[in-house]
Amino acid sequence: MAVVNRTLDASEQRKVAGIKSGVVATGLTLPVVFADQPLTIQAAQAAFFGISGSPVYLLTCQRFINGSGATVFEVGTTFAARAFGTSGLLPSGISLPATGSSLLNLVSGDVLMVSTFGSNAAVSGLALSVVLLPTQDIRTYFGLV
Amino acid sequence: MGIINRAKDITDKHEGMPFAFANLSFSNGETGVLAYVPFPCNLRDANIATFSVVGSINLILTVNRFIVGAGFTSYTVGSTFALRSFGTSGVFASGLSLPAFGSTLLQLMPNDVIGYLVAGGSTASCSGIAGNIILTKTQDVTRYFGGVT
Repeated sequence: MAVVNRTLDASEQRKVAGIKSGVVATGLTLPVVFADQPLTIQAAQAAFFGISGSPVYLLTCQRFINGSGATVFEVGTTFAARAFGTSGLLPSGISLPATGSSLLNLVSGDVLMVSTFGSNAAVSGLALSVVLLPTQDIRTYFGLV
Repeated sequence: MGIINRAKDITDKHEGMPFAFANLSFSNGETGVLAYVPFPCNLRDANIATFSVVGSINLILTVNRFIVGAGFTSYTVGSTFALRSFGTSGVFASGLSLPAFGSTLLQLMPNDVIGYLVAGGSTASCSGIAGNIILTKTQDVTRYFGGVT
């Protein structure tokens, strides 16, 4: 419950997190979001600057469950970088699973990552934002607070 | 559209300050920055995930504060913690160790900078760090950087 005895409008419940980085070479895996509470990924968008070659990116989620260890799963499909100065942003944002997919559900402690692929490819600057929707009425942070 | 004449539920007064860095290296005594505080708040919790850790290293949270006339101060918050590999150990079960709730060390002012100090261990590096610092605003009417309401 966001406001005492009131529910926030859906558009006010969302929050944005992401990564801003300088040079990103191919083969890297960068942390983007550390989920502090249960969240659903609603949208993601990226801007690329100074592209060399044809770098390709993929969102993944790393999850650690005590007793069963770490797992990694892909979120959406690969997407190619496009120069912000030439083509702007991705027209439909980063391609994500359809709304309702369990792949979009993050639990507290998950880390959303972005991996880069492509030979001899890099960008001089990357800004990636993810729109997240908390799923709890009464929020708990890291399952504690 | 904001909300006027309503108080937010306590769980919604918290605000996460996420940070994510790639390809960090650490050496003893080195400092780094994690978050910039825009409003008066209490530090409620923090946690961190580290990937591809090489070596072993201990960090401690710090608060850097500059007051005009008095100058710069820096103090440590909580106790040291060792970076642990996410793929092996996940994140800290109870978050980072912070002072007891109510400690003045947890009270932050606008323009404070939360950082870290490498407080021991061997030279180390990691491919990525992602963390989140949970802050609770202390003002009913929040002022950003002391001026903007």
